[in-house]
Amino acid sequence: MAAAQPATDEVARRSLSESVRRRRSGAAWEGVVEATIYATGLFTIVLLVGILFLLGQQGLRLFFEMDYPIGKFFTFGNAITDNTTDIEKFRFGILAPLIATMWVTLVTLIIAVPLGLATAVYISELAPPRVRLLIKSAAELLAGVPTVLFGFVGLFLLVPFVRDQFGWGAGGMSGMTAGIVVAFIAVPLIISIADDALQAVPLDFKENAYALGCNKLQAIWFVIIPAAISGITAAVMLGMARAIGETMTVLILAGGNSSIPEAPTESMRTMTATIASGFGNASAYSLLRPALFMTGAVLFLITLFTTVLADLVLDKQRKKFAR
Amino acid sequence: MVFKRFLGKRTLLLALMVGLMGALLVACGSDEESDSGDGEATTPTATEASGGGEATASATEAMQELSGSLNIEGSSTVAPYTRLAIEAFEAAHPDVTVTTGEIGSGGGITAFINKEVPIAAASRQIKQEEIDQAKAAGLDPFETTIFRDALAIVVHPSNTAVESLTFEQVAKIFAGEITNWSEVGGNDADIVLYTRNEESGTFAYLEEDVIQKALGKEAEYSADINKQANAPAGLTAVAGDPNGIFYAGLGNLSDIPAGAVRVIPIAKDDSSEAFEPSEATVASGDYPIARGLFYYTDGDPAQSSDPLVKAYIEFVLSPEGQAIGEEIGFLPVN
Repeated sequence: MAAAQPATDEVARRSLSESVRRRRSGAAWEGVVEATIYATGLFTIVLLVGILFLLGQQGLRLFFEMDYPIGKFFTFGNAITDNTTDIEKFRFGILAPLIATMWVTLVTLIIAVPLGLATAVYISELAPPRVRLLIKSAAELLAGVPTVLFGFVGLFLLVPFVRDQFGWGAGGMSGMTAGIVVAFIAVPLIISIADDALQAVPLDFKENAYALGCNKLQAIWFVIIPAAISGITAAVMLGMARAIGETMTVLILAGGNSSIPEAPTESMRTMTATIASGFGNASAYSLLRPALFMTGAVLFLITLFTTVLADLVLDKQRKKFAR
Repeated sequence: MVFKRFLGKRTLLLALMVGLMGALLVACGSDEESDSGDGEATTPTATEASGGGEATASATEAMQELSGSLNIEGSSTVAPYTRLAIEAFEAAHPDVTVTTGEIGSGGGITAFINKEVPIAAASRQIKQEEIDQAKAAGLDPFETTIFRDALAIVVHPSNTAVESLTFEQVAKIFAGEITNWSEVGGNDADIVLYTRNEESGTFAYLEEDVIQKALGKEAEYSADINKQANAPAGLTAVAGDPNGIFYAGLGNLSDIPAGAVRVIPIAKDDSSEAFEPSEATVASGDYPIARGLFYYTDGDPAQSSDPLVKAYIEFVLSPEGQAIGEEIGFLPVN
C-alpha cells in the first residue's frame, strides 16, 4: 500500500500495457474501452454532485423561498417536525440533531476503534490460522446482519440493563445505548478493512523488522501498523461514516428527545432519526420538507468533509512514511 | 496517464469541492418546483360512476362489480380498526384490494395532500393550514367522523401509588409543569415522558386539546419528551420504565399483553370522580380525554367519482362496519 515502490510499479505497468498493445493492434478499440472506464469513474462524481445538488436545491428553498430565518435553523435548540407553513410555529433547528449525531458517533468510535483495530491486529498478526478464519468469518457474518435486528436486540437486552444499572436517558434509551450498539455494527467493518490493510504490508517489512531484533509486538507497533496506517485510517473513517449514517438503530435506541442533549447519557434524536421520523409529515407545501432536505445536506457535507480531511491527513502521513 | 499528470490528487479533490460548492450555489438560484402530481386526478380508475339513487339498495348491486385497489394511510390509532374493516370489506368484494399504513395522522394527511392516497385516516381534526395546503393541491378535504375514541393514559404496572389523575394534572405532566410523581401522590421519582412523534395525530391532539385546553393557548409539550416512532414502541418503553408515562388509543392497548402497562383513571376536575377509559365512559362523557376519529377524502365520499372510496366509507358507516369498531373499544358515531 503505502510501501509501493513507484519505479518498479511504473515499469510493471508499462510492460503490461506494452504487451497488451502488441497483442491487439486496434488502438481505436482501446480508446473506446479507456473512455468507457473513464466515464464509469466519472459517474461516481456526477452522482455525488447530483445528490448534493438535489439536497441543496430542495433544502435552500427553506431560506430563500420560504424565508425561514437562517439563524433560527442553525441555533434553535429543538427539532420539531411539524407539518406547518407558519414560520412562527415551525420550531426546527439543526443544532439538537447535530449534537445528538456527534454524541452517538463519539460513543461509537470510543468503543469500536480500539475493539476493531485490536481484533484486526490479532487476527492478522498473532492468531493461528484457524482462529483467524473463525473470527474473520464471524465478523463478515456480523457485517451482514440488518441493523434493525441490532436495534431490536439492543432494545430487549441492552436497554433494560442500562436502565437498571445506570438509569441513563429515557428508561435506558439514550445516545450512549445507541452508540454502544452502533459500535457493534461498525466493528466488523473496521476489522475487515483494517485486516486487509495489515495483510497488504509486504513480507520483507516484517522480515527486516525481525532481522533488526524486534520482537512480535515491536514489529507490529513500529513497522506493521505504520506501514498499514492509511488502510487503518480508512477503516476508522468508514466506521465513523457508518455511525453518522446509521438510522434504524438510533431511531429505536436513542430515546427520541428532540431537544439538545447535553450528555451522551441523555435521550436524543439524531439527524438520521429526525429525517426518518419526520418525512411522513413533510408535505410539498410545508416548511418541514426543505428543512429535512437541509438536514440531509448538512449530514452529507459532514461525511464529505470528514472523508476529505482524512484523505489529506493520509496523504501527509504517506509522504512522511515514503521518505 | 495524461490526466494524472496535470491533475494531482489534491487538485482533483479541490476541483471536486469547488464543483460541489458550485452545485450548492446553483441550487440557491434555481427555484423550480419539481413536485410531481400537480394536476393529476386522484382517482386512477373510475370505470363506473355508480349512480346514487337509493343509497343502500343500489350500493349493494354496484358492489358486486367492484374491483381495483384502494390505499389508506394515516393514524395508527385508526389502523387496528381499518385492518379489521378491510378484512370484512375484502371478504364482501373478492376483487378488491385495500391496503393501509399507520404512519400517523399527520403523515396520512400529508400523503393525502401529496395525492398519494385517496383516504387519510386521522385521530385529530385536520388543521387549517393542512386544509390550505390541500386546497392549493386542488383537493377539497371532506371529514367523515367514523368513531369516538378514548385516549388511555398508561404508566408502569408497579406505579400504583398514583391512584388517578385529573385532566389538568395530565396536561401539566406532559407540559413539564409537574415533573415528579410525588406531586401527584406517587413515589419520589422524576417522571419520564414518552410521547408519539410529530407524525401522530394523538401527539397533536394531546398538545392542542389537553395541554392547551387546560393551560392556555401558549402552553406546549415539555422539551424533555421522548418521541417514539409508534404506539407499540411507547407502550414497550412504559412497560419497562417504572417512572414512565405514555398515552395510546384504546385500540392500541391490544398491541402488548394485558397487564404490561397500567391504564390510569382520569377525572374531569378535582371535584369529580375518576374513570377508566371505555366505550361506556366516553359515551356518558365521564372520561374527559376522548376525541373523534376521522377519514378524510377529496369531497363528500357519497358523491365520490371513485366507487371504491364511496363503497368503503359506506361500509364503515354501516351497522356492520360500526360493530367492528365497537369490538376494539371505539364508540360508534350514531
